[in-house]
Amino acid sequence: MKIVKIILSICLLLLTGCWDQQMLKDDRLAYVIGYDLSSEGMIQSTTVLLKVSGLPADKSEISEVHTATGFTSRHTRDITDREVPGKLSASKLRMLLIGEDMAKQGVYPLLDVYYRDPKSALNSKVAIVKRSAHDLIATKTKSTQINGEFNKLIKSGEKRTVVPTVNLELICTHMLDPGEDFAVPYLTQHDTNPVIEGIAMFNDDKMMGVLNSEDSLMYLLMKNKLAKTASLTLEVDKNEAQKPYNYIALDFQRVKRKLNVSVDGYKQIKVLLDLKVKVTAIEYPKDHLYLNRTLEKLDQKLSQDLTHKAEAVVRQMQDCNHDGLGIGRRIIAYYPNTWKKLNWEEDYRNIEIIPKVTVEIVNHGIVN
Amino acid sequence: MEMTKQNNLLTSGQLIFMIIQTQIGVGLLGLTNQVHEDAKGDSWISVIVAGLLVQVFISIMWMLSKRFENQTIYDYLPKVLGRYIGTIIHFCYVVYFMLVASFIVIQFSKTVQNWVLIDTPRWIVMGMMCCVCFYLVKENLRTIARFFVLVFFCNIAVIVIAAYAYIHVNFLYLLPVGQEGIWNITKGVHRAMTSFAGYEMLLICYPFVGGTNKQKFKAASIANLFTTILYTFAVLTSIIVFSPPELALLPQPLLYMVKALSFTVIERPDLYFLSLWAVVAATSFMGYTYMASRGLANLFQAHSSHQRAVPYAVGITFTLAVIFQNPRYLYLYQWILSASDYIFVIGVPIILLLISVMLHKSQVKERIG
Repeated sequence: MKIVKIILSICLLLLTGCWDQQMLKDDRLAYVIGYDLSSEGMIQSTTVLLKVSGLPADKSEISEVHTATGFTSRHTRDITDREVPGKLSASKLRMLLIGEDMAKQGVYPLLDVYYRDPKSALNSKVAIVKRSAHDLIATKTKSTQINGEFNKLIKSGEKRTVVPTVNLELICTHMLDPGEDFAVPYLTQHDTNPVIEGIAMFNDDKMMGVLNSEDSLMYLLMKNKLAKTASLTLEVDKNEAQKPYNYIALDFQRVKRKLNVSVDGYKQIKVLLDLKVKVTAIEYPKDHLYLNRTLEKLDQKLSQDLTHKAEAVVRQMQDCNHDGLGIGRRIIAYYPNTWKKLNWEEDYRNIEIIPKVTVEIVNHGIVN
Repeated sequence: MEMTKQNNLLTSGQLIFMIIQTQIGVGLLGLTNQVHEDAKGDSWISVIVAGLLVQVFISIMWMLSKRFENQTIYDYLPKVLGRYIGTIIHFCYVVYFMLVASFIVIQFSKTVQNWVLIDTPRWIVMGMMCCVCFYLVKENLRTIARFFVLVFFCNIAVIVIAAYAYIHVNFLYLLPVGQEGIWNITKGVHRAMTSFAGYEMLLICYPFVGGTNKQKFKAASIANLFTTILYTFAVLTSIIVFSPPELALLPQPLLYMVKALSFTVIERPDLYFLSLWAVVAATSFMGYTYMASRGLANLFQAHSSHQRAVPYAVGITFTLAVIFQNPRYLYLYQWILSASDYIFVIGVPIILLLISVMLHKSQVKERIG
């Protein structure tokens, strides 16, 4: 009996995890993946593999990139896997880039594999690329190796309230929700570098339009998503001879948002969006900010300008049928009977959204 | 006889943990998806109602057990219903507990396979679970209870991990309250009931717990309160994290919502969550195996200790689990269980209570186990 016990415990020690062990040395980690629509309507994927430093044989300065064309995203991964020495794994994916044409067709079929696979990295960032994701990756990898470039770019954008803080998991919630839509960063290429151009607005899982980076800041403020900092330069004057004197730069300190959805009668939906922002003047060459009169005038002028800006953003959102403010969700929650009568895809364009921004300069730096 | 001496009894405090750990098990992960199928955004109401309903059933069980203060249900079944019918029901109870236990094992191995051990054969996972369970349940009741108290912290840790999901929530998903109507909420209650099962431990543990009847009732109620709160928290969190159409896609929303979190040192918190949940599921399995093996032992020899029956109970449970692991049977299996849940947990105790009240049957003056 004792011998059996000893043999059993030795067996236990030696026979652990034979089936599901995953050696890092066998895996090749995909770090950035890009998807584009190829000319035949197929999916073209571009996979950047993570460089594992410390491998002495591998001293080259550029990243390993693989391109494959297939029917679905999983299919392209299988094809890529045939090219890659070692097992391709997307479990440490950091950045998912999608070409604009692909995004306009709908992204859910592409992402399904990520949602289904228990090992996939749901905290990976997502971005849409103007023109082609492949070109962006290829030009970048020609000169240097990609490590965290895309990721860092997006993260700094998030901190500056230029792009929304989203990842694969977070967009899924809104992708499927009829009452709210999501937006993701929109990248473009400047020389060999990726640049944040703004955000791509979606309706369901299809990309509908783009907001540039100044409008996207306004968009995020309206969503009450002020991140660490947010700065904006506005023209407040036209008459100064020296151009810089015409401008003021603001840093948003605090945002207070009130979103009020009301329904009168049949399909008469009115949305009042009241934004109260407190800002610091971080650049204003003309100065006199210590005078109450100047401040009041500026406050008024800025409020007016920002309200106009907000109206323009709302118009763009409605044109794109992009319900980023989640108004549909509010109607479901507060007016369920109205919601049943609505055809949100059609009716969202026609609802009335009235933004109003009130600016208050609360600080003007360390000079008077 | 293991419980004649006073110091062999459980305290009523330990009874709380016995019941909590048996109640909370595999249901924790799947509950939201199950209830959400019918009750949608009102799932949390269904869960609270189910908790209240369970409280009523606990009261009934308590009234019954109080009449036979020093006996388990297996002992007074033949006395109330007569020898033959009593023995048949007794046998059915044993089968029911084994079925529930193997269902737990199946669900456990299925979840583990889907989330972590994709290539490991199912029977290995089941076997490991059964071994661990055998190892503990073959001890006496006090040891089991102590272990249950010890691993209670897993529940708390599960709450803490799930609480991180509150970074991205939308409370609007809860509104309008009552959107699905009473009928759908009721259906949701029905679906939630199976996850609450486990309080029938009271019928079997009752004579082994020290303290007054009132204390025991309090202990069972506190246990149920905790379970209800934990389940409501789990369901509520899942509802406000995921939009309704997405929630319909996710069988284990609790795991899914912590999957995307990432901390400085830790990634994939769902794996930590799963490891803690494994302990919770194991205790639930142990609770049922204990009840089954006690029934099995008493079936062959009245008042005998459960310990000798444990290998048989675990063996049968394991075999059942291996046979019925096919997902095609699982649906039927689940259906049978949710129906028999009502019969054995609620139906039989009520009948027993009514008969014993009408016939003035109560405790025979002897202390037995």
